[in-house]
Amino acid sequence: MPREEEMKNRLKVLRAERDWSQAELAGRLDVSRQAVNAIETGKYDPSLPLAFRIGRLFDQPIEEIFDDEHNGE
Amino acid sequence: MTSITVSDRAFWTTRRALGWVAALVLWTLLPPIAIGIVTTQLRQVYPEQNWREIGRVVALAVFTLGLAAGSWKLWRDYRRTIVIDGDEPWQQRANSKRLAVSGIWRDCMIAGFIAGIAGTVFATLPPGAPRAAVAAVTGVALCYAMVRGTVLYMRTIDEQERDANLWGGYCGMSTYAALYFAQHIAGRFGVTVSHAHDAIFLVALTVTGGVYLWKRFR
Repeated sequence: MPREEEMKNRLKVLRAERDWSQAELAGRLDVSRQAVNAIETGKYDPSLPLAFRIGRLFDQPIEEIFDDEHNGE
Repeated sequence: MTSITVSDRAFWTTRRALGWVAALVLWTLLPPIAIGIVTTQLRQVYPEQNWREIGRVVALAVFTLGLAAGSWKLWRDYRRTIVIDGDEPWQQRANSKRLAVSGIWRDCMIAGFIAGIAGTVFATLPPGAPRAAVAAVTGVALCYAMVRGTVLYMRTIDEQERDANLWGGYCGMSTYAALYFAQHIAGRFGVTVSHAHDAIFLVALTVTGGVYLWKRFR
């Protein structure tokens, strides 16, 4: 039975590589720290504009940061 | 690239449609019927029990527990909020946003304080023209403050908090509708509860706050 799309992301890894706190990343993305925490833990999927802001901030395409676990199926 | 097969799409479309139907049935039909049957049976089996008082105590306990849990969660979360100072544009933006959010909460508290004083003044006035005038002014001010405050709040918060608000509002309204219908059905069974609407409002408010906190801070 197929599973519903679950979004995973590398936000925490990318943030750790730059030694940023959640609050600092939130400030750079113009969202709250709670939003960053919710996105990192997969409890909230960001909107497309926010996903683009994340991609631009880390200078990576969106699909390099977010993965819906259906690649290759 | 993402690829979803046709069979997957058909499966999920069907499952979502069935989910909506099931949710509709669960939320609108089953609770009122179940509450109506259970309350009727309880009153028949234990007619000497003061169910009104028991219900009041249980509702108060649930509300108090929810309030305590929510307050504890909020306090834990906001304790981790730090001030970001600096000259870079994102630092100034983040700090002004933090000030805007705390300003919204501060204004809410001030508005509540003023409303409390107005309510106290209103309660001490004798019936007549001054009382009607104060009621009219308070009503207009309340409507203005709620609309203006909501617009300011929704402009200030980010998308995740807006999502939590939408979930809280949706669940709260659904609870209110279901309980209101349950009260109506219970009335048909001959079960009437005094201050039922107050209790329904309290439960709906608790659900709204609980779902908001869950979606925002879990």
